[in-house]
Amino acid sequence: MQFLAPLYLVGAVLVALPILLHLFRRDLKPRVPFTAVRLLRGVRVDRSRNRRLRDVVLLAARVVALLLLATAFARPYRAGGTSDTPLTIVAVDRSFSMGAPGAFERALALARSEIDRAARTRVAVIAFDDRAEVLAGPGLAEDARGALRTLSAGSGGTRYAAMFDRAAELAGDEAGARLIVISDLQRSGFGGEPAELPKGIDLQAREAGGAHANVAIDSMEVRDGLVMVTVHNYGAAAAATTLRLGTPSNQSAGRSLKVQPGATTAVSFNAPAAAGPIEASLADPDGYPADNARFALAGPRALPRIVLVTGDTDSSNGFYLSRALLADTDEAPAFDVQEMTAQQFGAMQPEAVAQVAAVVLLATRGIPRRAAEGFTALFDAGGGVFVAAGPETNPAVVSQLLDLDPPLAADEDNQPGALVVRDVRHPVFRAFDTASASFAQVTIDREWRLGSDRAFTTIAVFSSGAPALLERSVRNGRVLVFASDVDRRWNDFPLHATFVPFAQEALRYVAARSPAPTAMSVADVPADQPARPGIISVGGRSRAVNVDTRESTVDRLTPSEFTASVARIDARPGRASRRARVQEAAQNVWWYGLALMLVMLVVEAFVGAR
Amino acid sequence: MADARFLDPALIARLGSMELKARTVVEGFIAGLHRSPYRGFSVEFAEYRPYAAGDDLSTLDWKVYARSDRHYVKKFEEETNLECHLVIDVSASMAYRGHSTMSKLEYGCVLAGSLAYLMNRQRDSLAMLAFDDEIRVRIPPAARSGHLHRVLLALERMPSGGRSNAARPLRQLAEALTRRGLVIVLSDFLDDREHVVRGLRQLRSRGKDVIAFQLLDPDELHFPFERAARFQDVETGDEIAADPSTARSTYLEALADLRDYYTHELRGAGIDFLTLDTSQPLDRALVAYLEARSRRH
Repeated sequence: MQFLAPLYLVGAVLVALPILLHLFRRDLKPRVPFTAVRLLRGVRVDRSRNRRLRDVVLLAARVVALLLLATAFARPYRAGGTSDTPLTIVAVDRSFSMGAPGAFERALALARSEIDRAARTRVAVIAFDDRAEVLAGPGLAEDARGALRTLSAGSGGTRYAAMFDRAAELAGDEAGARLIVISDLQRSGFGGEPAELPKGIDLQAREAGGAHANVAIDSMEVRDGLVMVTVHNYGAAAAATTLRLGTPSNQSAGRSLKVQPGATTAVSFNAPAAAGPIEASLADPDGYPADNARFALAGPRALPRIVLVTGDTDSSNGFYLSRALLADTDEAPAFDVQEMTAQQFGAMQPEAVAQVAAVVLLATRGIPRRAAEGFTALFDAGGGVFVAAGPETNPAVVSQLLDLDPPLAADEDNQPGALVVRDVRHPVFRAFDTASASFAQVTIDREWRLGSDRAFTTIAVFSSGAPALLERSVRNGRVLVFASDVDRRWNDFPLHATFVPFAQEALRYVAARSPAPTAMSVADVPADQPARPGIISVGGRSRAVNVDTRESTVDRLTPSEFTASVARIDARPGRASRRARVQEAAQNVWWYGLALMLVMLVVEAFVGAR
Repeated sequence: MADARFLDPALIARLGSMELKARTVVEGFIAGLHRSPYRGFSVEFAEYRPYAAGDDLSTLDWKVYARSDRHYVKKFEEETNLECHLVIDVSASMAYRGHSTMSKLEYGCVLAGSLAYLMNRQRDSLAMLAFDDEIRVRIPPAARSGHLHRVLLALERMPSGGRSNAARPLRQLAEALTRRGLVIVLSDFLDDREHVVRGLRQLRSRGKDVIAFQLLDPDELHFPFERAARFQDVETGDEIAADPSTARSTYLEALADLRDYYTHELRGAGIDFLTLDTSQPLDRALVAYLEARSRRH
């Protein structure tokens, strides 16, 4: 028995505590002053033999519990075998390329053969793809053979580096350790990562064979009502196949195609009308089955939802801005615009506000104070707010609602002027390029004269030099403040051609959020989900899971090329402790120690209560 | 402890109310509740009332008749020469206060003060004695008006003592008493029970009427403890470790046995024995006293 953290055994001196208590303070009962003590003389006083026995049992339970606690923290483990018995590590490739016809069966047969041959040594089994897993720790050949029974080709890619690291951990600094890699020896498995193995480990490679031809679906993308699928032929001869598109449960009629060796063919389908998962598949009996299908999520692209807070019920605020936002840019509006009165907005729950991409504040009158919670939720979710000055917008209320610190300090000014773009590279004005000079034609009659505030960045100014468009970040979101009106009461901006693109670019910028990913690789699937292609739910969102197509190649190494590709290094210090950690983790003796300690505590509580 | 506590109007009103009930049975027998068989010779003039047929002519006031030409008889208030001794145990166990608001000693002093006030109202000669294993305080009998104040003051300043041993001080008291009278003993009687009975019987054998009030704290009466503890005797320091869940029944049986013993042995000797719970109102003790006295006569 050895210990991973033997220093914790020092904690075993704590057993002295109950022993000392037992010796010097046997009776821990409180002293209670009383008068009629002579009337208690008839009471049976439990200073009997039973009591002494109970004390001993209690003491034993406490001492054993403390010893177990110290031992569990010291992480005990049983060192596998004796150091004079050599170790053979059999590493079996289970990446999806091993799914080629007959490849994995050959790999298993080779593995069994190697285990039989190493029956007089200690044998460990590692299965690897893009992760490496110890199926059987160093031990008997029988256990190693048993570990192979549940092994099958998976959906992962090949990463030799992970396997070599794991093998080095198992071997530690043992002399005479042997690593036998059974794989199709794909070149892509090195993946540009340095593959290193200590010099003390004898590396041997066994080729399990593999496919010489493979046709794979390389990618599938849903865009603009079309599903674009690319098919690549990794083989050396032209391949004919049939590509189908449908849902995972219902495949449509196939489309035949012929792909030249080393070439990629793109095929487009009309996207399904209904949102949901789609699957593309092809027939490739000679290649790897795992890359014959690919999954994606189809559905209409959700437009950014913009809420215009217009003020009172009879307010005409937002007329120009809403039309500008709903104007068709290509063939469809770029935003989902919803006008709301202050009361309607105030009634929204913070969770609902957080779902909005951006809120446009055109008036503050009538907005209840509790709406501040909604703005906080909006900013936390990465949303934004566009504030436009105007006769119904109070900068103090804006500051309070948006929790701006320092608050907006603004006085109304009616000095005539025009708009001047200061930062033409800013995303709001980048699309205008040289046309940004057109903003000078806007006539401003009235505006907010905002005080200098370092929290805000000025993007555009009035011809007077006062800030006209300012930006600042709040939590995870951002705020844009336009210091004049957008409803033609303080200026003629809505009548100019620049208004529509300005409104759309400003709102696109304010509402910008990182798009949620809809797809992931098998290697990135969370541990609680099955690591295979398909549709899974992560954090309440659906994700398409696909294989890593780097694994689809048929380019393989010979065993000598394979061993030559591995850098041999000196044994790293700490390898032995890593091996010990591996052994300890495999045995988990500390867990039993803690469980036994809990049993002792239960016994102690039971005996103590009697 | 202030005099006002002893003379609490609410308490007196309730006590008076109890006496009033007695007076509805026998008008004018205030002293009848406390009726003394040892009537003395000194009488005190109280008031006049018109002569009625059958009145003793010796009580007719001839001087008033000469002045007013009407017959009036003098009405006299009885005055007894009952000598009453209040005997209070001040041993350390009497200072015990469990979960009630007053210790047994405080309760006993208030009770003694109330009895003293009641007796002083009836012009009884009042004496007081405090003891633990010997006599600590002794106030000789007197019936003067200022004597009550002296007794109340002594009660207010009553110190708690050491170990109790009632036999010796009770014997000393019995030897010192020559006149017949009433002795009221206030104690928890947790001393050696045979010594207690012997001492009280000695008092009785000297011709005294004896009332023994056993004052017990609710904790002593009910043993409400829950956790196992080492119970330490406040007088001797002896300790007994016990678990109340198992010891309670044994303790209560022993207490009931003690009280039965006192009741049997003392009542057999003509001594009243009453157990008082110190969490109960004082008037109940006074009423118990009056009822005990009324039963006697």
